[in-house]
Amino acid sequence: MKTVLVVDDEPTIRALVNAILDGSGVRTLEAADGPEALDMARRYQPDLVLLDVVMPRMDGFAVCQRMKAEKSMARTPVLLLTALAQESDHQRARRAGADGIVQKPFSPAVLRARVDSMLDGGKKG
Amino acid sequence: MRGKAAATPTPLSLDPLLLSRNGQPWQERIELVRLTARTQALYCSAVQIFAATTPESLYEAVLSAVWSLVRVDLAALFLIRDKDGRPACRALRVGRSTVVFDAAEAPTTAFADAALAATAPLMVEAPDPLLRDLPSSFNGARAPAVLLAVPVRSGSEDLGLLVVGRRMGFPFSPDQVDLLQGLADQTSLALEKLRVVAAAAEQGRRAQELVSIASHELRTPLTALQGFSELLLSREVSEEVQKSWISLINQESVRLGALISELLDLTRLESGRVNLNLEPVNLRDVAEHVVSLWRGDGRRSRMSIRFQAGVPCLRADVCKLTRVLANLVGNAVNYSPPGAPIRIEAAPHCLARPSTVHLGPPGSEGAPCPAGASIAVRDRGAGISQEDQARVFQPFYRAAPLEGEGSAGPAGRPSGTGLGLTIARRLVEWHGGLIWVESCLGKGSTFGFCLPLASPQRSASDSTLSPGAIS
Repeated sequence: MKTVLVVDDEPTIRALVNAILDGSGVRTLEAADGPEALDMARRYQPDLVLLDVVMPRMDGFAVCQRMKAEKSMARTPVLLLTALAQESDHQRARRAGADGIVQKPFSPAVLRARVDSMLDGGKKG
Repeated sequence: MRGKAAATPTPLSLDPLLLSRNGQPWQERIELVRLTARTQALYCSAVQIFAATTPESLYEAVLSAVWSLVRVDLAALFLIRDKDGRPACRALRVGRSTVVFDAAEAPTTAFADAALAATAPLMVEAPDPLLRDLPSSFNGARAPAVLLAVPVRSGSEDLGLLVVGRRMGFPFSPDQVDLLQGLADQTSLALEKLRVVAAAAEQGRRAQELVSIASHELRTPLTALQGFSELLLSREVSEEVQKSWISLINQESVRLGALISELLDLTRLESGRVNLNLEPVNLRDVAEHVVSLWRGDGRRSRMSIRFQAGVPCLRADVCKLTRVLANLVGNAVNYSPPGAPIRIEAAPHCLARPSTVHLGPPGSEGAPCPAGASIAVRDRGAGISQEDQARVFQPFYRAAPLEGEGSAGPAGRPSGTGLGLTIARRLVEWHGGLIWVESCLGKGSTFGFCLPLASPQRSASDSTLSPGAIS
């Protein structure tokens, strides 16, 4: 079973993403901020990270950059879930090494489709 | 048409009587030419001074104008610095080049202090000891034998001094003093213009920033609303799951409503559309009312009120002061462990430590505390780091939640919109007051504000704040 790490400081959004992925045959893990996300990513080696951007302590761009810089996590795909709407934010996401962006608010069907396609193209079977 | 032509005044006409006096007409003509040239020069300098768009270009324009209008060997512009009210040299011209000093490095001189105290043009000549106290940038040049300072003033407010000097001991004539005073007056108008332009730019920047952050904050509850409602429409789920999703939709709708309401309040405060209903306010009544809001709430916190003797009655808006205090108490409750004491204190003087930064509107940095009365809320909660203390009054800043139950909203996140402290700060500012925070991680926080005895009456263009939820 594939593992998806859901990182968001908003418990409601974590609950939503969990509900969207429920029944899709993936296991979900949750982290509420950047340091916790890095810790869990190292420990559980997820197949995909769904990462919020604006969070206390460490933002999603920094988390993504750290992951891509660490050998054990560099190939883990990262999909940013962000409410930031500026083009400059999207450029920052690309510079941080994000593999994709989903803009909040999103449709559950759209997120599910993006997750499925990223997991299919992932490294683990 | 004829009438109109007859009414046109003849500029610069000479009194015919002058022509009959012996030798007088030429002197008068010379005087007239001199006055015309001076007026033209003043006009040209005014155009250049007003065209300046930055403080640095303004300083250069002023000193260039001095250089072209009066024969001097030194010209300097001193401006009053905030921290101690002393005049500091922001620009100095000796020869062809102008040196512009950073506000933090601008030198002061005993002559400038004396000139500011004099409140009128002050001229000193050698061997006055004040002549020896000059900015170090004057190194190498021969000290002036005569120095003149004219005040740069806006109404009754001292803005600084225009200082000129000569190496040769010719004192400045009354005429030259008048001319320099004209330049100083132009300088004060141009400084005012720059101040207004900078304030408008700052207001625009803040409004833009608020829109940008607000759009982000609004998207988060919208994501939950859209997501859960689409899931409810597209999936067959148990009644229990349905209920939990509907509960989340409800929670996020309420949050969205509160957010929009507070955003509107903040927008009104930022744009100046606020009406203070000033009346005598007893702060003890305000404190007791706020504490009563939490009675029967079942919260674990124990609140107490301690007023020092002599806390005066203020002229203020009681509803808005209540909102500020309720916000501070609400935060203390949210970020304190169950049962931890929360104390509301008031005093007829500032309750903050001398080193505590008082926050006010832009440009008020370093302003003296207006403490006709001070009120503070002390908690023994989680405390705030030094770094975060600088950010707590910014829109949408929220501290990390406390560990364990009780401090957070239904979903585990601190309740509130993240705008409460920003609104509190603006409400205090509208009263002519300053807000502050002192905190130590793990030991607790004190949020307080100091108010003048009577708040300034602001003009109101439309409405008062809505009495919306206190977060």
